[in-house]
Amino acid sequence: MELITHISGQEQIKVVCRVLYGQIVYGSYSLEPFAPVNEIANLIEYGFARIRPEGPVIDEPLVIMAAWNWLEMNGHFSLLQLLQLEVGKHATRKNGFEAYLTFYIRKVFESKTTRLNDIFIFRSDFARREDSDLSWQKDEFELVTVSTPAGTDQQKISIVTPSCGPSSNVGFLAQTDDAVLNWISENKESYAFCFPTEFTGPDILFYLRSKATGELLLVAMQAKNYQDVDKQTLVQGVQSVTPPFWKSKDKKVRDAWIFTQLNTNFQMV
Amino acid sequence: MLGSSLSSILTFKWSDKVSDRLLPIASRFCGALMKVEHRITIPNAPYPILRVFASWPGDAKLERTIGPKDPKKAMTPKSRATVDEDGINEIDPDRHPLAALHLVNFIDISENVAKLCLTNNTEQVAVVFAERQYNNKEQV
Repeated sequence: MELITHISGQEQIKVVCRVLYGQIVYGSYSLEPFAPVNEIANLIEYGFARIRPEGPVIDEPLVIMAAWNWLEMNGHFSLLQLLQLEVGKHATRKNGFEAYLTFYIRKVFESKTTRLNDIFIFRSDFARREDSDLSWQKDEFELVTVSTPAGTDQQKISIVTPSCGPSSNVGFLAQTDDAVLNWISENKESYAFCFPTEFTGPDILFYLRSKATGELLLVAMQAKNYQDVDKQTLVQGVQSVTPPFWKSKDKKVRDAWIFTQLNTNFQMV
Repeated sequence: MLGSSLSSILTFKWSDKVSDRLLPIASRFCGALMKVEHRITIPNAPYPILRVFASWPGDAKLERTIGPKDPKKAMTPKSRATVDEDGINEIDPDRHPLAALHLVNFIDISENVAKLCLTNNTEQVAVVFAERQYNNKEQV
């Protein structure tokens, strides 16, 4: 807590706020997009930041924890406050509503009684099957990370809530298709959420686990902060989360998907 | 046998159409989804995926993706200038479950969380689901 008292002035607090929440929500550590050079120099001087090969960063766990506690205790700098302010904002790879949804999902699955159909309303044809082959929609689920630690083949599953998890950074802004693939299958850094590349359909990916059976479900989410959702937007959105969820403009890439789907099905038969 | 020969044809077409760079990405993506262990079973669906269209504040109205309610309307010819959305008979034939954000609970929970944050209440909160609460009262 004492560390934060070294920071004086609203601007420096805002910089720490943006940097820290950028790390938590998107997994990016760089200070440079957030702070002017003189502010970075001050943060290094105070012991908040340090120079790494990739640039200046705030990555000391004690510093992060102290700053986090201070910011959360001062309402107008809390993560929720920041996310609420940015819900309607949209940058090329960062969307305020998507970021807020990851906060909401973490919060809602913290509850001890989180039935899936309390969080999501299933379309009627799927909802009707809640007493037959899709009965799991009535089950309680928890938010988890699925990772394969380096040097092992063993899958590791960790529960995530706003107050605990395997990593201080919950979101991962994927820069390449390979990075999305790695998140699905390995996720060594244990990020709870993946924001895939713009060529991959869904806006957010995350894993849930049934408390009853321990079985995993991958959620592919399309987020729209719209007053009204017209039918075309809806249809395109649904297509974007439908496997093989690849919306590349490159026909060759789409053909690759179709081919692989077909080939996989034949192998399954 | 048939599957095997078709697969060969597709492989042949693949080598004509798609560069070697793309094959590993596409097949790895499918492979990664197929390899998810201890997964939920979804009949006739290859991957353990729940599709979610999360809209707010506008309601997603997912039922529109099932198909036209009136088949005759779907057959009515329309001007080329207008988008004939109702003419699509089966908009979403996919077998992976599709859901939307539960808006009543989303709004209710968001408001509760915001109130608690304002009062610096950091204790774990049992989230009250408005609709279930309502239903329980109805049953009583």
